[in-house]
Amino acid sequence: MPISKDNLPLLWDTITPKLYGYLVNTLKDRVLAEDILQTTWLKAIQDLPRFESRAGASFSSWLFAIAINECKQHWRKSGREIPFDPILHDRGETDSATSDKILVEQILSLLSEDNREIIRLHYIAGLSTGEVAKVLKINPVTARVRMYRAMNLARTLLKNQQS
Amino acid sequence: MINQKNINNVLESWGNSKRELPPNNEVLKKQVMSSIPVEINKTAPHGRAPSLWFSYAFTAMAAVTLVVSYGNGEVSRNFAVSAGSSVSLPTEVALEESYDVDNQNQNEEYYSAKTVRQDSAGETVASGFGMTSTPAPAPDMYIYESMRQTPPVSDLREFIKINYNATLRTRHVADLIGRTEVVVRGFGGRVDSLNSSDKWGHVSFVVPKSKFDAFREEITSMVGSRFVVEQTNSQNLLGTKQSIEANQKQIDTTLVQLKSDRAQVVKNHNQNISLYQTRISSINLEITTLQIEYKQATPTRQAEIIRRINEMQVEIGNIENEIINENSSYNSRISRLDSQIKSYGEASKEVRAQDNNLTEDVATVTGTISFARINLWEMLDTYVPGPFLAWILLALALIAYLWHRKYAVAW
Repeated sequence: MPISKDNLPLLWDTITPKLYGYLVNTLKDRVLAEDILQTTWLKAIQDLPRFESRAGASFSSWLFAIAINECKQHWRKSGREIPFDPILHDRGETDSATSDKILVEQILSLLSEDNREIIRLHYIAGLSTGEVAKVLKINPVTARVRMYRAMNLARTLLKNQQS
Repeated sequence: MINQKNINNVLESWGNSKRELPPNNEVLKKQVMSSIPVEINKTAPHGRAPSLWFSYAFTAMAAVTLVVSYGNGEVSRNFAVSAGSSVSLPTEVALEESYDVDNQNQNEEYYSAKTVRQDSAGETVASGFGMTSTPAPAPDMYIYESMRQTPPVSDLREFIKINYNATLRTRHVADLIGRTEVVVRGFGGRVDSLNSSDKWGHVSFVVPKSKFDAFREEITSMVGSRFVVEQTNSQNLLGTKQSIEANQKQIDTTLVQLKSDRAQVVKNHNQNISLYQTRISSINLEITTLQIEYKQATPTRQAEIIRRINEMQVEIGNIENEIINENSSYNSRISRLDSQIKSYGEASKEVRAQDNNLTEDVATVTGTISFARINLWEMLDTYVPGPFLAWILLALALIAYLWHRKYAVAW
């Protein structure tokens, strides 16, 4: 479906929760996440003709690719990437944290940043493994391998927790 | 039991819980939607990612190039020795078979030396006594082993003659030829011939064997090792040396014999002349005695004396004729012997000269160095393994693949 002025608001409503949730989980800063959300959408609209010239591309994955680039630019400018800390960050989850969510945070803390990125893009952003590979500009096989390792680790942690 | 599906469900519910709208969602939405340009549907010219087929095609061409080049035999990095630089052994000029000296009857005053030789046309020329017996002039080249039997294994001497050929590929042919000349002369050698052009060059040389290794190192250091092809041939000239020694021995033996013969001829001649002289003297004495007797002899006796004197004078005449014949024969024999002795003396000198030449030849290394101009493509082809064209095609295949990925993987 070609992107038009009429269906953009619909796309906003569909994609923004995933995108904002991803940015919050990545940047650990809601204000910053909002800024980058806005910048991402504006850039996407500005470069819309470039997107439509690419056959078979998903608007969602394209948007997330822009967002990741914006995050990287921010980190380059600020000089550091904030390390993941499930206790310090993600304040919005503290009140409604369940054992499963705590478990997931534990899993994420044990993963490398590359693997955490894949988990976020797949489960928060709802992208398929192929789309994740395109967004991250990696080989689809690499993406599947990382996902498999992450899932294996999660299974191991769950087993340990149960025992 | 926790299984994959449960993990997946946990992660999915976690992911869903993370999704949320920003606090200022409506404001942000309005701002973004307001920035939408009017002609949003104008799209950039449609372009497609370059097909992977370019990459496949270049890879296939590279593979074909590799197969063809290795199927035809690997492209030789050893460039063929150019024409004119092949090993050139000195050519045979004359073959001399062994001398055969016939020792004739001892009563004869001279020996005859019969020689059989072949000239360069392969014809057999017999030279016996009375004919020109001068041996063939010693050539500057040698009688080579190929025309003689293999030397016996008991003779372990080595007279190694080295012939060296090299081909150098360079982009500066004339410059290298000049340097080679200087190097040859610098090592105490001699340049025998030199041809030079922009693309080809050829130098023939002789250098002392003692300096050959250093000379060779100097020559090969002028270009990279990949651009040099060398060929060294060694030959043991023991057979030639043995042939020369045999000739020398034969000539020396013959010379001794001839000199002995001459001495014998002179002695015999002197003895004969002495005998004749003695006889004449005794006859003259008898004549004198008879002449004295004649003065007091009776007429009958005088007639006898006169008859006897006449007989003796005839005898003296005969003896004098014999002396003349003896002298004539002696002169003829002596001149022949002297001529033979002189010829063999010259032959001995020539054989000694051959021996010296052999010694000098073994002490030197002869050879040729050829130069050929190399272009840049050939230089690159020399450095990379396999055919250079295959590498270029592989590089093009890689570039096409990366180009395809750049446009296909971006979104």
